[in-house]
Amino acid sequence: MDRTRKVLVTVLVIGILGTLAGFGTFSAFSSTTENPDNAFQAGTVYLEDNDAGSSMYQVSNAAPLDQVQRCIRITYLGSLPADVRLYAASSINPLGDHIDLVVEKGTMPAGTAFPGCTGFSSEATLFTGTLSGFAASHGDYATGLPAYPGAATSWVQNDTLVYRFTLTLQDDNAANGQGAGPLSTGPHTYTWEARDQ
Amino acid sequence: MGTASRSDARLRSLGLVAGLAAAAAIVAGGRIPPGDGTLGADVVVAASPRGELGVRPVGPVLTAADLRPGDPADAPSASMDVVNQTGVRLAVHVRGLPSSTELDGLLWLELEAGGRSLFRGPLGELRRRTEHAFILDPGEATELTVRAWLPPSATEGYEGRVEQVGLSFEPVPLGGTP
Repeated sequence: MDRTRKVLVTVLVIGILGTLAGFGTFSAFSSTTENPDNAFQAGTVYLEDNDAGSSMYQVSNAAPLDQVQRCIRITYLGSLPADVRLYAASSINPLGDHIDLVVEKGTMPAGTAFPGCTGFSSEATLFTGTLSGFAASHGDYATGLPAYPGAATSWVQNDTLVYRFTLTLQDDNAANGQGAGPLSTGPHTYTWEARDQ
Repeated sequence: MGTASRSDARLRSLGLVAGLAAAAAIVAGGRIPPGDGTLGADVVVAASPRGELGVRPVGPVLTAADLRPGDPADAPSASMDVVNQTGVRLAVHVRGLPSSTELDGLLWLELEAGGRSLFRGPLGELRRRTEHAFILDPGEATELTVRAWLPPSATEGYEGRVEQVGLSFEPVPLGGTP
């Protein structure tokens, strides 16, 4: 082995030893800390009713002062506290001017099936007027009728509230279609909308 | 004088012994009793209503603390009422929503509706809705019984686990009123 090679081998050995010593030195003075299991989950706003897709009423051939009374149970299943408002976005044909509507909120035994009202106990009257008037004044969420279970000021998970609708055909000959055929409100939809507080 | 000194000495000795005994009793009474070194599983089964179905009670139905492998006959059980609030006949299936997968293969559940078995098997299988359903006419209620246990074959993996199982009801309208 010539002199140059001896020098190179010596430098190489010193380098390897230095590297190992360096690793040993640094690893002896390292440290970490962790903050594990971070997660972010959104809450929910979720409403259901007990109509199973059926309408509350479909009345035909009604006579003056005929009345229907129907109840629907609204259940809040979301995780966030919410407001719930009732409105009717549908347009109502002119017969709606001759149908008196009363909307109440209250409680009812769980065994009363939709759309019955057996055992309904009223807590408050939410609206009194005509069907057309309801749609005209409560046609979207902004103008919707707010209501809460009992004396609560927000809906929370598993809350339920029963709404009773009482509709009465006025004793008014203007509701008589006569030769032009029976007047009708046309199909209309009630909407309950929940929004988080 | 000599008799009095002996009496005093005896009294002092008795006092010393009584004091040592009292101290030993206090120390012994303060010891944490030895356990078997393992924790059982804590299981809570809860139910929520739906628009179509009322549930009584709402929330935790079955709470089983320190559950350990054992005979299913000794399994804790609890019941709730489920009522059809719609105007149509419903076939109601049930699905389990466990809070973790840790006990999926270890914890067994049994569901009975109106006295008829709806499901019996490991928790993991209840993640799919039950094959069988119970039928409810409009306004009808039925009693749903839940039983939970760890079979003897579950020798490990359950220790110290806390599992919350939500029962989700999935009603299917059968159409028309009876």
